[in-house]
Amino acid sequence: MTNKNKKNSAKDSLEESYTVFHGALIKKKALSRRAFSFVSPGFLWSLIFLVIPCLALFLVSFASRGDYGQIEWEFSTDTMKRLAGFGYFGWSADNMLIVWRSIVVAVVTTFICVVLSYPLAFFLASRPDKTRTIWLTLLLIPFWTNLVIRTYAWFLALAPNMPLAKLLAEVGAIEPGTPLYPSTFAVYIGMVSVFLPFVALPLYTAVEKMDWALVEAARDLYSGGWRVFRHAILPQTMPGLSVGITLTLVPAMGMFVIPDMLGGSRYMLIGNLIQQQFGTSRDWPFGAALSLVLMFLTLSALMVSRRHALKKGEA
Amino acid sequence: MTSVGIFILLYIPLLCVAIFSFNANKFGLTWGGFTLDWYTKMFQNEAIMRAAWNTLLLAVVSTLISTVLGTMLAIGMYRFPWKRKTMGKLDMLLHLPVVTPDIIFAVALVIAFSVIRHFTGLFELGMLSMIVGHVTFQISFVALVVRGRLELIGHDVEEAAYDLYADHKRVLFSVLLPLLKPGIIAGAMLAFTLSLDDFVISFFTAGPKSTTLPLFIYSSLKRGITPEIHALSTIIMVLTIVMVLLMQKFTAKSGQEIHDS
Amino acid sequence: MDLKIFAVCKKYGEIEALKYVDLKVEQGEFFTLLGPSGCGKTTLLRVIAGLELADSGMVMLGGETITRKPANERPVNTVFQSYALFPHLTVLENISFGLISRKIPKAEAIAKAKEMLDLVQLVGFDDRKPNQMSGGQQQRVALARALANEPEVLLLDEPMSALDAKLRVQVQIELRQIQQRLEKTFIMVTHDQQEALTVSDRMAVMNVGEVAQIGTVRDVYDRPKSRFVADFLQTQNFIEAERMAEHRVKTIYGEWTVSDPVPWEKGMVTVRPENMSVTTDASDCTFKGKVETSLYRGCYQELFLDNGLQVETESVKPYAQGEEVMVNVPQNAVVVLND
Repeated sequence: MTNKNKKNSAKDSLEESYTVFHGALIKKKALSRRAFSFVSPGFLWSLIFLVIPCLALFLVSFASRGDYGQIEWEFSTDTMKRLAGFGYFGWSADNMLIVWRSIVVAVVTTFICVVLSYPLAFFLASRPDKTRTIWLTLLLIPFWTNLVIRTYAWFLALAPNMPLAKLLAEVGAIEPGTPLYPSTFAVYIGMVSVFLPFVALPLYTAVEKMDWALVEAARDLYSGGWRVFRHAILPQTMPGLSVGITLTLVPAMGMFVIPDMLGGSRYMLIGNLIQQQFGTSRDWPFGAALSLVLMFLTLSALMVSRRHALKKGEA
Repeated sequence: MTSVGIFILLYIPLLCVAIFSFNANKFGLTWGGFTLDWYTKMFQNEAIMRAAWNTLLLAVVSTLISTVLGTMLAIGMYRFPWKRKTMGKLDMLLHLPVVTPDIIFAVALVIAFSVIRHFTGLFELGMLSMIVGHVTFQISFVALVVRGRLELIGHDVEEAAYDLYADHKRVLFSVLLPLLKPGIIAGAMLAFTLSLDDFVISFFTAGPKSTTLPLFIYSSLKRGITPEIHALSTIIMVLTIVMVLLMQKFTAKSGQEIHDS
Repeated sequence: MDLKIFAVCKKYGEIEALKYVDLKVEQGEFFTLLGPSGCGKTTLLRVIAGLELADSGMVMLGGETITRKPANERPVNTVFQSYALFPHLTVLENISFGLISRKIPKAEAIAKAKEMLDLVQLVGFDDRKPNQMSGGQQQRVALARALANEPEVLLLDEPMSALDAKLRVQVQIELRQIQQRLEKTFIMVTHDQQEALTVSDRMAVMNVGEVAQIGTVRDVYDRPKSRFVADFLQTQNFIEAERMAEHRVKTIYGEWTVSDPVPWEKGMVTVRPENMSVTTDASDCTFKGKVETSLYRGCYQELFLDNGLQVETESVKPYAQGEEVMVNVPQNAVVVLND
């Protein structure tokens, strides 16, 4: 022991390879090694089954389509042309329309969800503790119910002889006897009912933590409800709101189940088009290219929401 | 009030399904009398039972794998002073499956599997490919939950343990893991639920014999809805309710322990 | 065993937390590291505990250098500011944790743990969990947990910061009693000078990584060596002075003889309000002043004079505003500050 000590005290100022982490004295190299051994399995898995497939996606989108729809490893920009609209029968705006529609649906859905979530979040936050858990549980149950079930359930609720359809027929908005689906309206109802909890829950967390004193002060200063909202409530709930928007906007763009079931065969979003390429149309490179577009939309939406959240955070 | 209206919006379709599962009328949407026939038919339907079994098997296996991998990933990320940049990148990688539409990953996996199949003959679409697909996105969720718990624990207790003559093994097994247990279980429950619920990834990676319940329901819908499906859906909904209640109870209890100490 | 610290330095990136700190703590004394936040006192404590590694310098316990010994090999135990009790273990399991780590047989460990519970007056709490106890009780468990291992040195990191004022005073007394009973070396970190004065034998006042003054508690309190130390120990009455001779200074209140040698031409001296007294006999060491404000403090009263000085005196006779008083400054009450 004393020998080691003598050596150590002599090299004290040169001994750089040790460190103390959370109370353990350990050689930095040993610490690295252990950290890597913990992280590697999960990381390697993600690398093999997440990162590399995404790279493959990128590559495949530049490959060409074989006779039976399989991948021919020949570089081609066919898919890119298809994306821009140049199909087999000349140029058509179909594809771009689909992309545009996906963006619109996602944005509108998110907007409606936000507008509905604020009152809902306030409602939840104002419940006394005892009933609050009950209300939260009531919100969580549909949240966790299977997407397919939730969506097809609308077949029943939007049927011709159900109250809503009857009401609209009464008013003359639709012919009596027609179901309310498949239609754009049905798609929106489906989307909103599915994504609402994604916005409401994070927003509720933020609202719960709000400092009401600021809202009171704002009420004293501003006469209008909107200004009170904008200056006192919005900034404070921003973190919850941005989480909710991120969890809604992006997945909504890639949704295909709801448009498929409630929108009918001619109502297509990106998700449906992609699914088609791997199903009936069998054009994998094109499907890959479409996925890339979706990926691109995803990343842009993420970056915008991040920058927006940062900016508002400074305010 | 808007809020109550929202709850009505969320529950009406589900209630419709539940109610119609008892409808004696097979077609049409008029009430034909109360019956439990559809439930008995459902339990006798071999396809449904097989799908249920597949769904369960898939969920259990994928949860086991992803919980182990995700927990190790979380501990590894927390137990070393990674440089800011590396931490940021790992963080982003972790969050990616959470925010990205799952169709992108499903498609990427299908392509990757076919390439692997081309060269090795492995990864025929089926149970294995589905398990792989599920685990891949479950890892992130498990890791995030466990990491949250790790941050709650803090490193004071680790330092205290070393101060009290513990070696690395003792710190890991007597202090860290026991404290982490609720987080690991919560992560596992989350992964399990995500797997049971999953549609998109299963849709793309499933083989002809490995249907899961969500897939079964989806393809049945194309053929026409029968109240048998309603019965099945109702049972699934009931199980979901049970699951949610269990999760609520569990998180409430485990939060208490750390919160007050 | 004595604890010796030689020239310990510690840097965090650009920030120098400890700059060549030298210290010696004698066996069996209650030593306090006192200072404002950021002065490095906690860092120093953690270096002693082994929870931080000094960049350079030495830490010696007894004759042995422990600078690079891991925390779990040092016969030193810590009471953390947050107590850091293991939430999933019972009180008894918490206390016996260190003993079990050292492979002491379970029966013996449990017996020792129960002994500790008796020492900190928590008998019967064996099976409670930390979240079922109050802050004060948790602190005692943390203390018992550390002491159960009979360390050579016990370290305490601001142990009373989470307690309310009344409890704090009680705990201070108990802590001192336990320390004296066990005859162990305790090193405590605090920013509360009142606390330091109450429990310690000796203390070190630290400022931005350096030791400003070390000494017995009385020494440091009565004779602060620098403006910083005097200020931190809540000395009032900073008076500008000119050197007249080695032991004589001139101030606007008069010429005073001082017991410390005067190292500068112009500088500061200080006198504690309680060391001056109101008197009726004029003499060399008295000066006159008018009472501007008087505060009644129960057992004494504070008089704020119009010339800026503060005097403490018995509260028997109340003084009205504007009243003229004569103040006596005893010779050895004037302290020369070295900066």
